[in-house]
Amino acid sequence: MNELKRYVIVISVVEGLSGAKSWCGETHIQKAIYFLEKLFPEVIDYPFILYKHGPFSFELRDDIGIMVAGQFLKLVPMFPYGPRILTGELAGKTKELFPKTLMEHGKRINFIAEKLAEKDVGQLETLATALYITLESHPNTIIEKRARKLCELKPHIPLESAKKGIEEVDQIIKEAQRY
Amino acid sequence: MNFKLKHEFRDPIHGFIKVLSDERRIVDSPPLQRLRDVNQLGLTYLLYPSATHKRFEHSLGVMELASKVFDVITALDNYKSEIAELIPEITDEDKKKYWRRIVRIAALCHDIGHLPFSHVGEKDLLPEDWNHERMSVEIIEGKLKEPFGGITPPVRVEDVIKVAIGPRRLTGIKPELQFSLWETILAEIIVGDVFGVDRMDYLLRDSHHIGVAYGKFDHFRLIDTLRILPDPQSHEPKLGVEIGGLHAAESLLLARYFMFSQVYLHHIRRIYDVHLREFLKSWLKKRRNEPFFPTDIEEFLTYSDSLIFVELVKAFKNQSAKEHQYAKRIFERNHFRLLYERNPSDVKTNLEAVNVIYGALCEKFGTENFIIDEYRERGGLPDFPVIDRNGEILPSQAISDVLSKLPLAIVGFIFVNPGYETEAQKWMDTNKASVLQKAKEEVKNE
Repeated sequence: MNELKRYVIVISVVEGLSGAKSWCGETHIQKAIYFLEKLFPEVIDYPFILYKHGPFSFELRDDIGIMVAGQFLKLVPMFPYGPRILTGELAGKTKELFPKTLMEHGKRINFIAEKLAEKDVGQLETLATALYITLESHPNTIIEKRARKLCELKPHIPLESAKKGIEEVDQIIKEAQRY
Repeated sequence: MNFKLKHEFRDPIHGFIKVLSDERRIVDSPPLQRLRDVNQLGLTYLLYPSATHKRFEHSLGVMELASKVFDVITALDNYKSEIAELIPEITDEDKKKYWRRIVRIAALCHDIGHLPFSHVGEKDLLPEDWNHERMSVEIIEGKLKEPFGGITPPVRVEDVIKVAIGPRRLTGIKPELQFSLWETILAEIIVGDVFGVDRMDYLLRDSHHIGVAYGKFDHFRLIDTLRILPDPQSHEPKLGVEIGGLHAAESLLLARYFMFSQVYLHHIRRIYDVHLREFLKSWLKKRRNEPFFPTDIEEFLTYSDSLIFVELVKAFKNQSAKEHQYAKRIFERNHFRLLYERNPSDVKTNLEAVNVIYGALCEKFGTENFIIDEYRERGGLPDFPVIDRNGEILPSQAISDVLSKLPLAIVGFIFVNPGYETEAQKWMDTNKASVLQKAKEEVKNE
């Protein structure tokens, strides 16, 4: 995928998250793009591995850093959290280059953004890891088993939160079929 | 017979670097010794004359620093009980002893698969899906089993590979290997983007040998204040720092920025890399029928800087050799000259300014007279937990103004054949603005 086309998806995710009242830190962008990549593979393609706060893409992290340096995105300090990430000076110009992409994927991006916007980092980690486990598991694997697997991979997440995360992910997967 | 249990290497950065006898067998093995003949910074010595240090001493330096970090973060007073609950290895003395050994060996071997002249040809001169990390894995598995065999307690090769390569690169090489929390942190000690000792050693070592001050930082203070801390938001354990070491961490990251922008991405260094790469492509094609270094370990290990340098000299002396033109550019310092450099003002007019100008120049004067070279520093936004004097843990980005404003180095260069320098410059002065504007109006990506 063309570099600027990748950037325009990231910019739209940032706009979607901010529009849905997210404080939009890097983890929000990472997990929103993970959900997009897994539920709508035609939208964007970043390689993810299980790492920091669950599924994580080093390539996306590099892109976010470069987009900040290149003024496609900007950082706004948010004590006591990490910085908020907003669109930068060149975001509008980039969007002008890809009207079809934005038209085609806008609803999917907003759907994911709305689902994740108001979650905190801990909730995002649980949800994204829940999606990872659900996609790796046999289709009929029960919630309890997937939740236990989640706690095995992320021992700092309590079982009850893991169960809730798995249930929520099942619901998001179901709703995503509408798009 | 040598009965010494410990051996030491004199090192300009760390004083003495000590190794145990069984570790020395790894140091003395041919794959490690080969690193004595791989320049840490490729042809940078053509720009900074004393940049002639090698991967060998860097590997020893990384081992030294990795041991220090391991000792600090696993010291009883330096972690909280909640960390011990999530990472039980940290309280088990036998396991700690084992993993300390793994960290040292992994650090020693982390660069073992480097190509001649280090990063010059990695992207273009290895077949698809190969990189120096994959070569390292192959060499560790294939050639170091014997020296590993003499180590007590025995080391698992798989553990060395995980800690030496880290999750980012290893996932593409051995996707079946999963990292535990503990293994993730140990790999961070070596290859981590913020506190990785690979980076600490090369910044200190490169700036020492080059003779610049801006790569230096207070690594003693930094290492002494590193801690395994729960992430302030998710509680996931990560490598972080005590508040007293925050300035040292900031200066490490600033050192990285300065070294990238002023040394690693210096335009003359970059153009020499391009000329050497052109030489290697042509020479490898002639020697091996394909423009790549071998991936067979035995053959790969015969390639080092000396071999290539001899071939460069031969090509320089032989005017009829196809590679003569590239060798001549290097030996006679007749490299392509910098004509244009990416700048924010042009990018604001046209997001693809470097490519647009390069295209117009090639159309006007011919593709063979220009070289385009772009690079973006990787690493993202530095984010790690910081524990303050009251025991409160906060994200680094929230309490450090420096980190939230730290730039990444992005470069885009267009180089011109010296014979066309004046003409191309004149054309640029007259036409650059209209080329950028015209291309902007024409652009329709979809």
